[in-house]
Amino acid sequence: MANNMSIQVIKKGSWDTIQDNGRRGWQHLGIPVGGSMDTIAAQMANFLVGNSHREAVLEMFLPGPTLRFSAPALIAITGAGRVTASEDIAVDYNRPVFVAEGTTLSWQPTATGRIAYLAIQGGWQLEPWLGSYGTCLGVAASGWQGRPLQKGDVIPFRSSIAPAERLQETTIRSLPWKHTLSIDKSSPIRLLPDAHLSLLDDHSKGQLISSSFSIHANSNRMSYKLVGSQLSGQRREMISSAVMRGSLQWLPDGGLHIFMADHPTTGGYPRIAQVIAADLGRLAQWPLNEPVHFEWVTREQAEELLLEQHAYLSTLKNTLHLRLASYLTGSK
Amino acid sequence: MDASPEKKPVLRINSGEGQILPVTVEWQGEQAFTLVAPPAIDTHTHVVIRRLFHQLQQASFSYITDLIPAYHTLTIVFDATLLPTDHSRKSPGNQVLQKIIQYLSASNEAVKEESRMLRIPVCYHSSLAPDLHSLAEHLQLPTDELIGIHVATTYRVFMLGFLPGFAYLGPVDERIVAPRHTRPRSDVPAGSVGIAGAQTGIYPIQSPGGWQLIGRTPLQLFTPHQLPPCLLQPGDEVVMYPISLDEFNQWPTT
Repeated sequence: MANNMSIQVIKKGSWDTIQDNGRRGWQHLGIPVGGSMDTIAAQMANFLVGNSHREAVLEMFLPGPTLRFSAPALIAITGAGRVTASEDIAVDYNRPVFVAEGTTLSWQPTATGRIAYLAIQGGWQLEPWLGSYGTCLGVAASGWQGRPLQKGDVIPFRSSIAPAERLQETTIRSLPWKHTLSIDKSSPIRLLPDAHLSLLDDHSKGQLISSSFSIHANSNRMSYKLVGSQLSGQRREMISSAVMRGSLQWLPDGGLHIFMADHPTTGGYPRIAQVIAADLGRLAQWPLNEPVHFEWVTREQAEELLLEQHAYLSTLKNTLHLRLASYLTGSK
Repeated sequence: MDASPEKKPVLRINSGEGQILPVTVEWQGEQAFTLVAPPAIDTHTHVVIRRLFHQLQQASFSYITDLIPAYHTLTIVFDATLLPTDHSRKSPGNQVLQKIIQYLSASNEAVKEESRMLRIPVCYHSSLAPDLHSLAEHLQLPTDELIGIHVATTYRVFMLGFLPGFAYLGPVDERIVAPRHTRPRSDVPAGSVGIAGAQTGIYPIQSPGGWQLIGRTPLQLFTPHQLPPCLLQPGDEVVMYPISLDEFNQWPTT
């Protein structure tokens, strides 16, 4: 394989970072888990190109970047948005795609979500830190130089197959299968009650479920700010303790924040609810200004949904890996 | 629907000196629960939290992905998919909770632990301590006395949070308890030593921050490629000692 396989950032997107499934086991030192915001889309991108779920992906908030491939590659794009190659050719989402050397891709937003993922067969040529490739912004470590991509960055990738042979007379070749996630985008985001829910007055508790909220434009990988009813209740000084991704925090001004992937490991605001793990990816993709509704579920329901999602991803991984393996051997 | 925290203690821990602390459980979603001692910012409570933290760290349950100690809480994060398959169809979270409580109950003797003691050099020169004089004025103390009080206490690392490696130390002497700035600074240099309420802390890296800055250490508190990357660990004991501006400037870099 050539040793100069890389992508070059021609134009940076709104927030492009290297992510993976997160950095676990270091939160007692204040080091956040981080990782992909929409873990389902990120994993599916990896599975489509035959990677394991632990491989790094490029996460792109839309509008995304313009990237140029210095070498042919097998890639997959998932999540939201649309992507075009030179001369405005639309490139497929949710399929393995061969791209030729020199291909330029650029990502535009669509109304269906906020984040796109790019996986590359073989993964990115990066060093993991504390067991993860994920960008840790707080200490500018890991990922790509510990920061979002900038114009001019050249990010090397690995590849173990020779895509060039499969690209005669074409610059982009989508493989003949596709996997679309059947996600019910508009159903309520499901919540579990958290320790400080009882601080809210009854009216506010009702509003949390009966009224609709939306995601504020000033929301990012650290937290999603909700626009909607201001909740009231009894204020109490809290002693800081650990906080999870998906934690719905009641701020002193009555507003609500939901902690997302890059949240600090500890916090001192009242935690009134917790978004169930199975809904975190769906929440991450929630289009701005679209109404969000919440709904209570039980912890047992949340566990069942999470295990179902996990089982679904395991099956998906096997199916997509087999598909690719048989295509690659069959077409030789 | 309302939160129904299990208010009945799941553990009663002998903290030594004959005192029993009741520990309750609060769920934080379906992938984590927190062991909660009565809310307090004191060494007595924290010794118990730290002991639970160490017991579980040493037990190495494969499905525990993170253990996060704080002042009076220990949060246990787990991955239900790593749990050995149980055909009882009991909730995976309940299984984890049960196993952990069983384990902690069985080993509930007052374990004697060695705390690490670290000495941290701090330069209190006004060029590195933008809030020292105004804070001394606010507290109606001579600057020297404020420094003297700050270095006289042995602090405990209650928790790390806010930023990777940011250690919450305390409690500070009540004579130098100070409010946070209402408007945080956008850039606090790495190594800055601050006070906020009854806590003191050191910024491991340059970041925004609202603490009253009274000095700076030349030590590097966060080194990504060392293991562990943080100089301070939960449960450490810390004493600060004053150094001159010359010593600060000539401090060997690692």
